[in-house]
Amino acid sequence: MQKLLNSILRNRTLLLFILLLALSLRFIALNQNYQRSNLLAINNATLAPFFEARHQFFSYFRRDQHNQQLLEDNQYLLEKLINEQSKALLLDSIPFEVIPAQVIRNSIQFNYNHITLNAGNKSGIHKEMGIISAKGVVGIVHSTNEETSSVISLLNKSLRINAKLKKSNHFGSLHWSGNAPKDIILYDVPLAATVQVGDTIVTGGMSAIFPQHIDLGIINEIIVPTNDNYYQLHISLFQDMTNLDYVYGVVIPKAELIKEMIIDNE
Amino acid sequence: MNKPIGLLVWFLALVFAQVFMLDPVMLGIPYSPLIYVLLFVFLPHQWEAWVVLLVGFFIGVVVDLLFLSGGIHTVASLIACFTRPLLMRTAYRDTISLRDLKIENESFGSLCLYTLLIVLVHHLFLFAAMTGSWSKFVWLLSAWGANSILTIMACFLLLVLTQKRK
Repeated sequence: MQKLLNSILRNRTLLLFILLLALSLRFIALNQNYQRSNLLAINNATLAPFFEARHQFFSYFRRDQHNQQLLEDNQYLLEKLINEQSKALLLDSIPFEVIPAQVIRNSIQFNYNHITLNAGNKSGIHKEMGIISAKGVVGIVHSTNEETSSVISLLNKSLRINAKLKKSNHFGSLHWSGNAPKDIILYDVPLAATVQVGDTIVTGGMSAIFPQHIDLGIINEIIVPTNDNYYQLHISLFQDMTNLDYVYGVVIPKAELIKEMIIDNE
Repeated sequence: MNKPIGLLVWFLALVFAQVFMLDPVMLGIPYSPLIYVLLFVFLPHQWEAWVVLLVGFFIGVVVDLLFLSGGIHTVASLIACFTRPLLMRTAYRDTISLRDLKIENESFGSLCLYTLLIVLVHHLFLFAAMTGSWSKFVWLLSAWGANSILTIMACFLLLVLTQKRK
């Protein structure tokens, strides 16, 4: 016993290192399931006022840039509206409203990135609400408080979004693999689908989070796996995730009813 | 520098600057210099190795909580602290005993080399923990190199500024 104790005392640094390293690796494993994590909500509640103050401070110096972005957003939406009005596109989609918000914190350098918005419950933002910008999907709300919300960014490896080819309605699952912020992959599109570089990818609408036909990006690389019946399509996002400012929470009428129907079907 | 209050001030200042000022999105660059690594350089070398490990773990956890980065900074900080005596011996190889070492009496070049080694070790394990797979080895190397250069430049700048003040 004495020898064992002596041995432990002699190697205490190494043993402590192994113990702390195991604990740290456990933190990493736990972080991969964001739904179990309350840290995001706590982090949001405590740090959001500081990020809001920082945002206000820097916004003053960037007001020209903000105005320019709003002009570009308006132009993009106007063009889209004119182009789509003639089509029957909106007839088969659920009408939706949007709640404006501003991004006060945005991380891009990790595998599990998050965004903080300056709008919360009071503005109508709620958990599991889809967040979009004028140019496409941004993420899904993880948690909210009165004034702010935490959003799981599209650049978060745990997030999967139902998406489809705009021209052929073949569905797949959009997932960021942790590489460059602009490169995201659409999995599960069957090889039977005709795909070309430059094809547009939009949301599939098979959830109560995003309506269908919200822009995502264009195909920039097509990979045909040798042992699989599905394409691996690399997508260039329309929205530059490193440059987010004004975003919108999507309110889907009858969202609860849609959720219940999805659960029933499953 | 070696006094606990001085260390606490450095800790608060570096972590605050890291989280609120050196935000890559705000700076418009893909990586940000991780200046909190300087804390491992400033830790008194006379401290017992297990104390340094606990302090490194604490610093890593704080940074991870603020960045919501899981445990990657904790892993990297822990390994940087564990390898610290070895790195110190490499940087200050002329010194007979680390306990007798007085960093302020040693050359600025040795301090820079010591900082460089700590940054390289910390960042290597940070990005290794981030990728968690050998399939992204090329990305790991490029991210490690690019971020290390940024951090080393920022740390050297801070070291030069604090040297001048003395």
